[in-house]
Amino acid sequence: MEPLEEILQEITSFETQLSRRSFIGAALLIAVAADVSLGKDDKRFIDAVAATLIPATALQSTGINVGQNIDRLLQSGNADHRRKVTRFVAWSQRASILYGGEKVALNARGSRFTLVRKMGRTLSSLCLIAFWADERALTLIDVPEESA
Amino acid sequence: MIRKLTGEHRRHIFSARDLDTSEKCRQVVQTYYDACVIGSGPGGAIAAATLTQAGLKVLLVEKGPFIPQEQINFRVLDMSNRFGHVETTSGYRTVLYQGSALGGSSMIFGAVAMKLKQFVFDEWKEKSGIAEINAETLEPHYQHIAEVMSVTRQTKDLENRPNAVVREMAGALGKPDDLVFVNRYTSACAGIGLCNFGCGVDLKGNMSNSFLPLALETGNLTVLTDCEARSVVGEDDKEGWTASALAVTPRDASNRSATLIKARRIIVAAGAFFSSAVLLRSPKFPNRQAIGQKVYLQPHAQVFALFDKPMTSRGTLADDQYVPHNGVPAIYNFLGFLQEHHFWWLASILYPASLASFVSYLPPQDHFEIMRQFHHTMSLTVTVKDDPAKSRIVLKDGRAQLDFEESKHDIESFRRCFLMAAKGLLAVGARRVFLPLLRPPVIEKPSDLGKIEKLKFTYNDLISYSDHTSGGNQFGIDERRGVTNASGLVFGTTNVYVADSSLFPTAPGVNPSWTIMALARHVATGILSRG
Repeated sequence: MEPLEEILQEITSFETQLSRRSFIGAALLIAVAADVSLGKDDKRFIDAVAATLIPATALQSTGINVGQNIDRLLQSGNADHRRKVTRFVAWSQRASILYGGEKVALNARGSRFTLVRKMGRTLSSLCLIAFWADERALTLIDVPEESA
Repeated sequence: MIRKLTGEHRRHIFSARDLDTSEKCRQVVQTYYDACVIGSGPGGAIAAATLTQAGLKVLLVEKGPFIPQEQINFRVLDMSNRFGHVETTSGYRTVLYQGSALGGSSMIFGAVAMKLKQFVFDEWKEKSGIAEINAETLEPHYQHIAEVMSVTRQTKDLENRPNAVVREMAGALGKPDDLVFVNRYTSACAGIGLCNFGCGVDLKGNMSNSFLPLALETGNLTVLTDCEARSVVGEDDKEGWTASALAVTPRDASNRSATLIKARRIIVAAGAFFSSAVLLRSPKFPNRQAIGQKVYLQPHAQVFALFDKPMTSRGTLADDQYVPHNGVPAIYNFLGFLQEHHFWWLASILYPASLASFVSYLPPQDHFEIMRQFHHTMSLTVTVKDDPAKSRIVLKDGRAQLDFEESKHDIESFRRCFLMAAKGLLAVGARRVFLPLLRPPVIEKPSDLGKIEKLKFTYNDLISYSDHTSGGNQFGIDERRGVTNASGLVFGTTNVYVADSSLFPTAPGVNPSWTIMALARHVATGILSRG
């Protein structure tokens, strides 16, 4: 099971459930263009969220741009998957108004709503995969002292 | 033995995206075939190979793309989203994952080949009323597949550190005899451990390097990729409902009108989710109330553990590709609790991005600290042989959905599984165990195990997935007990067959691919014998 695939499906579910729920409010249900890649605003948002999940020194020393990597991940998937991810990111950005701006991934974890907790996990996973799937992140991993 | 898809083979592989521009492609869909097979995974590829080798003209339709071996590498950013298709249950209880590329789920499986345990065959007999599908009757098919795909039993000398942990856990739990060596679809695994990315060194047996080249060599097989099967077209005649064609559209082109491919028989092998969907979408299809009922997920979850000693060694970085060299990912299945408590486990494939995702609930500093110690972690893939309270494929606006509710029994299996896995991991030296829950308890010492016993959770709180999905078109002795007969022929039809995991009357327990292939060959040889 590939983690991005799991995320994409969580997004599908998230999308389905959002349309049934009202507690987050209309702000989340604003129609979002089905773009095939992340827009500049989306990338800025993702980079800001990633900065709350990954130490600044790690981002700086590796030079990894999480938003760019998500775009790269999207390029290898089909159009349906790309649409879901871009829509999810746009929704998360709107939800962030209610959950502490760029700290949305962290704050959503404490929500009493299962759906919001799932959004927090999904957003966290998306950013963390896009960072740790990049070979440059391997320099951050301790070299094992002995052969396993 | 690995068989390459040569240039000559590839001349018979077409993409439905070219239907509007390629005359050759148009000719493909205008031909009349002896059989049209839906799906190129372990079911469809074996059925197609068996029929073409006997001289039948076959069209194989695959929803996903053809990804040539030369495009497969080990870059997680490039490969993790290429081969699979995901669906979910209603209300997102869990995730369904299956291959969506030429070769189907064989492109993403971990290459573990297991025969069913006898108690599962017994369950099948009881549930279906059919005695003729059993270990003995499937054995020749198992053997044929083993020869073509170089199925090889793993040996102790291949044991790496995560496998040693699985072995030590079996001893610590008092069940050393329930550790079994698995077979793998390879005789020369390089031990890279990224089988789920398609195997960049082409040493893993899959349908694209085994049965599909064999079938293409006959000159009787044509493959149409990027092609979604919408429905089977047919009508009632005096013998029963008779299919005349398969309606297809190019993938991701829902606005395009369907193209009809005419064939003497339709063989449905699109996996447990999509096989039922195709049949349910088919107008006036007989016995539809039975189709898609009782789907089994056999869900998996990952249990991670952190150790003081390294579990994996450092890989190599070349051409921007990180290539681990940790040995064969799983040589053992631990089956000590399968028959009584319906769960089992093996050491799983692990790479940094997967660990990053699965422990994403940790506070950022803790997460980074665990990631820094990646080489000191290992993962167990735990699997529950399930029996859901409700699990049926339904159509909603033409799209299939799995209407699903887990059973208390399955939750209890997961709880007991977490308890035993954590107990075993702590007993063999784990410093911390990470359970696959949205809000997991901290497990660092034996006294923490009580927290697992008190856990209240549903599938909504569990981070799980299914790539062993089965059922929905079970074989049975009559229409009340199944969708197909023992030959895979759908009741009420004269020429529609099922040849995939949707035939299973109950969840298979162990890895299903070898049995899917054996059953598909059983169905195909039956078609040949009837002429």
